[in-house]
Amino acid sequence: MALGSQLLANILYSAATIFLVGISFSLAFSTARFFHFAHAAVITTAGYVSLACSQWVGLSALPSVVLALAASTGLGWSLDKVVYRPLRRDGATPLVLLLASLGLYTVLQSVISIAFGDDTKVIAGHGVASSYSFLGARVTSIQVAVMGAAVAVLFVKIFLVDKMRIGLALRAVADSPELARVSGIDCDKIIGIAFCLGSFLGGATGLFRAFDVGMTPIMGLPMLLQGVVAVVVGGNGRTIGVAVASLLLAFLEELAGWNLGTHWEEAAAFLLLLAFLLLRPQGILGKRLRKSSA
Amino acid sequence: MEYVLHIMILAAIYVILSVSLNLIAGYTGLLSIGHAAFYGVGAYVAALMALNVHSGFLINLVCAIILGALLGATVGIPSLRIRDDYFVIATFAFQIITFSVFNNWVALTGGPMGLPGVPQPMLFGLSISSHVGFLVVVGIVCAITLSMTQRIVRSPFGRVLKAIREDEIFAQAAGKNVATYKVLIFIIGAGMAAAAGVMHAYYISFVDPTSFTTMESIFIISTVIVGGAGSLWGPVVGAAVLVLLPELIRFLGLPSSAAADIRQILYGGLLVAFMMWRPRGLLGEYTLPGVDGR
Repeated sequence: MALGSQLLANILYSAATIFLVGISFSLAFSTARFFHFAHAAVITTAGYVSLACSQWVGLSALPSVVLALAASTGLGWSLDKVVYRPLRRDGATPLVLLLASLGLYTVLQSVISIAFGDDTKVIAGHGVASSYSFLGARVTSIQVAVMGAAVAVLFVKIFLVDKMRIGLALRAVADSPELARVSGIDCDKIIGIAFCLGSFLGGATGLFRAFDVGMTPIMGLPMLLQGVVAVVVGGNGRTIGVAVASLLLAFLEELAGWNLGTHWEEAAAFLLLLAFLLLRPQGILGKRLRKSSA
Repeated sequence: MEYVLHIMILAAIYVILSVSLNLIAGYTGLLSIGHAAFYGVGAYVAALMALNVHSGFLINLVCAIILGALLGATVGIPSLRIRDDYFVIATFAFQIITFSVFNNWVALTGGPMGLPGVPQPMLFGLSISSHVGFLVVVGIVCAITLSMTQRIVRSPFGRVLKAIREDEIFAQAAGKNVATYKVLIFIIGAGMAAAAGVMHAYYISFVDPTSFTTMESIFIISTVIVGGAGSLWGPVVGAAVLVLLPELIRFLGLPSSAAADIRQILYGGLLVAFMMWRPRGLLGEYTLPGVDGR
């Protein structure tokens, strides 16, 4: 019983993280229509900014969290503003934007490595590591917060963002930037908003991870990749699909970890991704892929 | 002198990698973030055969190329069904799965400990142990790669590759079997990358997973982009520049702990800068795969 509920808690917790990263990634991916690889660095940045604020500057928990989220949001927004937007203006294709974002990721990750070192850092002294026992499963307060955040984001995304004007504008830009432009939507502004929202959410998820198990400069990449798997498997732009895929992925990883050892979790996730790309590229719930760019 | 030879050997290995990725990404327009995987497979096949079967250098080289090429075919086949950034994600998944196998299949690959003690290669009864000897061997393999590439890109076969890059549907309409060409170029490019891996394994005499990471794949892409995708000599220049530049930094007297990060900042920054201001690369005659409107 205790084992079963602990497994369930683990699956729900990792599904929540995957879902949050997946939604944060898909905001930019579905709107600007390219693989924003540097999002991995945005995810990582929040944790380190919080670390710097609390341990170098000596701020208390709340202001450092606020500053960390502001930093990741600002970073994502400025990446779009300074690099991606000029490239889009020049008519760059998704592949060019992807290549630029690979470069950006490489630079940002190395800067964090130089500034903070490659070892695992934990944010100490915030007193957030209290844990609860629930039906025999032990969960920390951070893990409860992540699961709560995932449920909140799920509902906010489906019932508010997707229904509001901004959600409509996001989808309009995603479907056809030209048509959106002629109906008076400022595409650059909408994409900028998508980057802000995505970077805020990504930063928050990274921060949760940093509080829970600590951080390394490369932690954002595996987190992002799991999110990408969930987005592709669930169907890009389908919130419920991403949620279902996150659960499926978390379950599969737990299964692989249980049967083969935890180090095979990543390979299992990417085999699932390859299988979906080849057999059902529109994802579980997706209707179609975006139009061919040819 | 040893040091100069060492840099030249490294540069020659990266020229092979860069030129072979250029065939796939530059000439055919199939961007792949999985090139380090082929490189790694070549290195592991050669090391495992040399250590366990005690077979000779040439046999190992041929076997590594064949296995690399087979793997190339398995990556090329998805390119028939999925394209653009979804294909990039698929090659990325392949890179991560391959790395996971290198890192986790401890019984075969030694896991993170790697495979130490790859013996010195014997060629026609001569043991190659000096830097000069290695440079000659790597130089020959590099020259063969270059001359093969030159023949390929100047042949009718090469013209079809460029046609696929420019307009796949048109190439198909002109009666070309696009599928065969795509898979063939992956077979050729992956085989060449595997040969570079064999050189690496024998030269360093030690193979471990950290040489074949995602970052390595991004580095190889950077050499192609900086030099100029889709030109014969561009990737040669790109590889030489990106191998030499970090060595110059070494003389600035920066702490060696930061050396790897500074190297990453350098090539990541160059990748972004070239995307923004000179997407053709140093010597490129064409713009990048998929760039239009410039």
